[in-house]
Amino acid sequence: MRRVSVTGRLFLVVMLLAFAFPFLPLLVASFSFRWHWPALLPTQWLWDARETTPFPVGWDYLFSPISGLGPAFLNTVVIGVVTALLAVVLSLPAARVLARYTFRGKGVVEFFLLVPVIVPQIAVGMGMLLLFMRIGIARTYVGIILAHLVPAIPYAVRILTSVFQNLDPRYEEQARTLGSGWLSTFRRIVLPMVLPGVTTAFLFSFLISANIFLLTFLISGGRLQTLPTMLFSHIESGAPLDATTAGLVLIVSVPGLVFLMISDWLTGDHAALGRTSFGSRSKKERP
Amino acid sequence: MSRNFFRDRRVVIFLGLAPAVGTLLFLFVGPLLVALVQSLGHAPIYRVHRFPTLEFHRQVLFSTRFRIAAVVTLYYALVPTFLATLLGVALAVTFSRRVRGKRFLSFFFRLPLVVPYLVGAAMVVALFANGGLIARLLYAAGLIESTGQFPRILFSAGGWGIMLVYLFKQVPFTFIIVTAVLSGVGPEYEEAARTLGASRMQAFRFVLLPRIMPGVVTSSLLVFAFNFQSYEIPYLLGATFPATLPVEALRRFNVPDLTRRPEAMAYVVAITVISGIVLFAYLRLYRRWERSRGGVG
Amino acid sequence: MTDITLHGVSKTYDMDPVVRDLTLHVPAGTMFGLLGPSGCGKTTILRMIAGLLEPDCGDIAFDGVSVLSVPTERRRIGMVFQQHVLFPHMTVEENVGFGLRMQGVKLRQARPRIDEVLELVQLGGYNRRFPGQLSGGQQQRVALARAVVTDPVVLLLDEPLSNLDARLRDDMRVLIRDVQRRLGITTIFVTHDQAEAIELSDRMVVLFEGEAAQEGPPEEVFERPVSSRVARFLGSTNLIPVQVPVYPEEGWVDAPFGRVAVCCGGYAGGSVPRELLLSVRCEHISLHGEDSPGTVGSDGINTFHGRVLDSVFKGGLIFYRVDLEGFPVDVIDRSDRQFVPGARVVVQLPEQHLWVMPAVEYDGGPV
Repeated sequence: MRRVSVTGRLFLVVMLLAFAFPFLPLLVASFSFRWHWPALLPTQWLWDARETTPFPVGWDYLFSPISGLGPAFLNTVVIGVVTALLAVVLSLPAARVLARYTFRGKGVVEFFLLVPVIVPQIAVGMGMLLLFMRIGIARTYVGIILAHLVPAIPYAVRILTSVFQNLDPRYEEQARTLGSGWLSTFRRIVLPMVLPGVTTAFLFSFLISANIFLLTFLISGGRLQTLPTMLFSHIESGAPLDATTAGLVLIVSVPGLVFLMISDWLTGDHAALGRTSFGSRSKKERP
Repeated sequence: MSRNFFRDRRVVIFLGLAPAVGTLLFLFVGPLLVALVQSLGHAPIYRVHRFPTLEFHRQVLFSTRFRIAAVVTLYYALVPTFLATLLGVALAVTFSRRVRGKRFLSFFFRLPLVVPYLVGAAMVVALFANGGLIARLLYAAGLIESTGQFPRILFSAGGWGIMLVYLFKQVPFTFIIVTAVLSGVGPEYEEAARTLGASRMQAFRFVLLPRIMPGVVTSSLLVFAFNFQSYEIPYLLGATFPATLPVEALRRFNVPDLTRRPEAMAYVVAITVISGIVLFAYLRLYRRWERSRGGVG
Repeated sequence: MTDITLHGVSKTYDMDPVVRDLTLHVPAGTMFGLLGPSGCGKTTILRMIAGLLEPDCGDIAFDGVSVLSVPTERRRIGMVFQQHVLFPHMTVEENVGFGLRMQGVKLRQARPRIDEVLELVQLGGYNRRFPGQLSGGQQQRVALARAVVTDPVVLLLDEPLSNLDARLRDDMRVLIRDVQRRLGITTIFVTHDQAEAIELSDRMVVLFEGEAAQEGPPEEVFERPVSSRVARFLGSTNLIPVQVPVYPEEGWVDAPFGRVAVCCGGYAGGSVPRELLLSVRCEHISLHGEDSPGTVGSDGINTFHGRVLDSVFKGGLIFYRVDLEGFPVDVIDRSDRQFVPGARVVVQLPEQHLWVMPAVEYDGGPV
C-alpha cells in the first residue's frame, strides 16, 4: 500500500479537527457557570459558583431530579432495547430468505425493505400519528417503539442478509443429515454461527432508535421525553455555550461512543460500520 | 398440517418474509396511505368529507410560499450532498493509503456518524452563533468589535448553519461507505494502473472511480434523501422565512384549526413525491452513464 | 535491454524485517526467478522494483541508474499481478490499451498494437469481451498482454501461474517463456514452486526470510545447494548424514550404509568439519535388479545393496523408497521395469551428482 502524501496528511488532520474539535468547546462549556462575551474561556466556572447560587446549574442541574434527565435516559434505553430486539427478531427470517432463495419478485421485496430509509420520515410520522391516535397507541411506549421500527428494520435486514450470505448452508444440511430437527439445527448450528452478526444488527438498531428525533417528537407529543427530544428543547431555548445544553450534548453522544467502541472491539475492523449500511455487497479478502 | 407444508419452498419464503414485510406494510405503507388519503380530502374526524379532491394539493402547489420553500429545501439538500460526497470520497481514498494511527483517526472520522444530528446542531450553535466561539476568536484577533459584526451564519436564508451540520454528519457517512467499497476493491487495481503508466490522478479517474461509483451513488442518494426531509435542523438553525418544506408542513400540522390538516398532508405528499422524482432522475442518469461506458461485464 | 541491480536493499514492516540487505544483479535479457517459501519477502522485492514500495535503505538501479526517485508510472515496467487484476469495467482491448491510453494514444490508433499483443498471447479476436467472460487462463494472458503492450524495459511477474490449474499452468509457462524470448525483455518472476523456477528461469535466487540463500543458474542451485535448508526447500533430494573417516582419505566419506566416493563439496576453504551432509537428487540415483545381467557389479564404486520398501507410479515415473542397511533413500526412476516392494536391488549413487555440505548451519544462514 502506498504511503499517504503530505497533502493527504494535511487533509486528514483538517478533517480530524473538523470532526473532533467541536466536542471541545462543549466540554468546556458544560463546566461553566457564566461565559460572557467576548471571553474565550468561561468567566465563572461551575465549581466556583456552587455556593453562591441557590439553584443547581450545568451538570448539577442535569443530575438533579428536576431536569428529567433520568427518565429521558431510561426511556431512550428501554425504547432502544425493545426496538432493537423486535427489529432483529422480525428481520431474521426475512434476511435468511433473501440470502438463500431466488424467487419471482425478489427485487421488489428487497426494494420494499429498503425504501423506508429514503422516504421522508415526516410523511410517515404524520400519517402514523393519525393512525396511532385512531387505535389508541399515540403517546405511548408501544407507539414510539413501533415508529422506531420503521427505520430500524431496513438496516437490520441489510446487516442480517449479509450475515446469512456468509453462512454456508451446508452446515445446516450437514446437521440435518446427522438427525437434527430444524429447531435444534437453528439453536445449535445457525444461532452460534450468526451470533456476532446478530449482535451487530442489534447494536445498530439500538443506535438508530437512540438517535431518532422526529418520529419520537411526533408520536410522543411531548409526553414522553427521550434524550434527543430533551436536547431539542434545550437547543431551542438555550443560549450558545449554555452549560446545560453542552452537558446534555455529551450525554446524548454516549450511546454512539459506546457503540463505536463495542463495534471496534467486536470486529477489530474500521470498515465494518460501512458494510452494515448499504455500501458494498461483500468484502474480497486481500492476499 | 403436514410437515410437507413447511417444506414447500413458497411457504418457507412467504413465512420468512411475512414478519418484516407485514410490519412495514402496517407501519410504513399504512401511514403513507393515511397521509395521501387525507391530503385528497378524506378526514372525517376533522369533518372534512371531500374525497377525492385535488383542492388541497392545488392550494399548496400554487402558493408562492410552497415554491420558495421547495427551492430553499432543494438548495439546502443539494449543496451539502455534493460537498459531502466530494470530501467523503477524498477522505476515504486518502485514508485507504498507509497512514499512521489509522485506528485513532478512524474512530474520530466515524464519531459524528453515531451521534444524533442534534449534537451537530448544538455544536454549530456553540461555534458559529453571533456570540459563539468563532466570533469570540475573531474579536480576540481584533477583526470584529461586537457580535453584530459577525456574519449571520445561523437563522439566515443562506442556510450555512444547516449545511454545516449536514456536512459534519455526512462526510463521515460517505467516508464509511466508500471505505467499505474500497476495502473490497483492494489496492491492487490502482497499483496495476500505476505500473501501466497512469499517474495518481489518472489511476483514480479511470480505475478507482468507476469501481467505487456504485458506493458513491448509494451514499449520495441516501444523503440527499435525508437532507430533503430533515426537520429539526432547519427548524433550529434556519430562518423563519424562507423555511424548508418539512418545517412548513409541521407548522400547518400544528395550527389549532384542524380542518387545515389536509393542507399539511398535501405538503408531506409533495415532499415525498419531489424527493422521489429527484432520486429517480439521479438513478436514471447514473444508469445511463453506466450503460454509455459499456456496462460492467 | 536493461539490467537491474539491487544494492543493500532492506525493507521493514512494523519492526519486522521483510528484506534484509539484499544485493542482486539481474543480467539484461534474462528470465530471473525469485524462489522462496511464502513470507520470504519475494513479492516485497518485486514491488520495490516496481516502485510500489520504497526500500528503507539501499539502491535499485536500471542499467546502473538509480530509479528510486522515479515514480512507478515512469519506470517503464510491465507487471502481472498474482490475481491478474484486470479492470472489470473495461473490455479486453480497453484493458490492454490502458497503458497506451496513459501515454495519450487514442484507442483507435492503438488498435493495431493491441491486436498484435493479443495475437502474441493467442487471444486474437477477444477484443470486445469483458474480463468476467474469460476463463482464468485467458484472464492471465490478457494481463500479460496488458503488461507488455507499452514495450516496457522490465517485466515483473508475481506468481503468474499460481491461480491456474495444472494443465493451464503448463500452457502458460510455455507462453510466458515464448513471449519473454521474443521480446528479449529482462523479466523477474516470483514463485514458491520449485518446478516453475527450474523450468522458467535462466538464473534464480533462493530467498529465506528476506535474505538471498543462493543465487545462480537453476541446475546449479538444484544440484549443488549451499545448505541443507536450501536442499530441503528444493525437495526431491536425499540428505544423508556422513562423516569424514577417522583417517581422512581424499574424496571419501562414510555413510550409514558404507563408504562413498565424492568429488566435490559446498563448503569454502578452511578446515573441513567432520559431520557432513551428502546430498543427492532422487532422480540421479539409479536402481538395478540384483540378478540382472549387464549391470554394474555389486563391487563397483558407490553401489550398495538394498531392499525396496515401497513403490508408487506417478505420471510416468516410479517413486521408490529403498532401505539401505536401515537408512531409507528415495529414488525416482524413469525406466519401464518396476520393482515390487521387498525386491532386492542394487543402488548406484553417481559420483558426479553427489554433493557434500556442512551438516550444521551457522546463524541460520549458509556457510
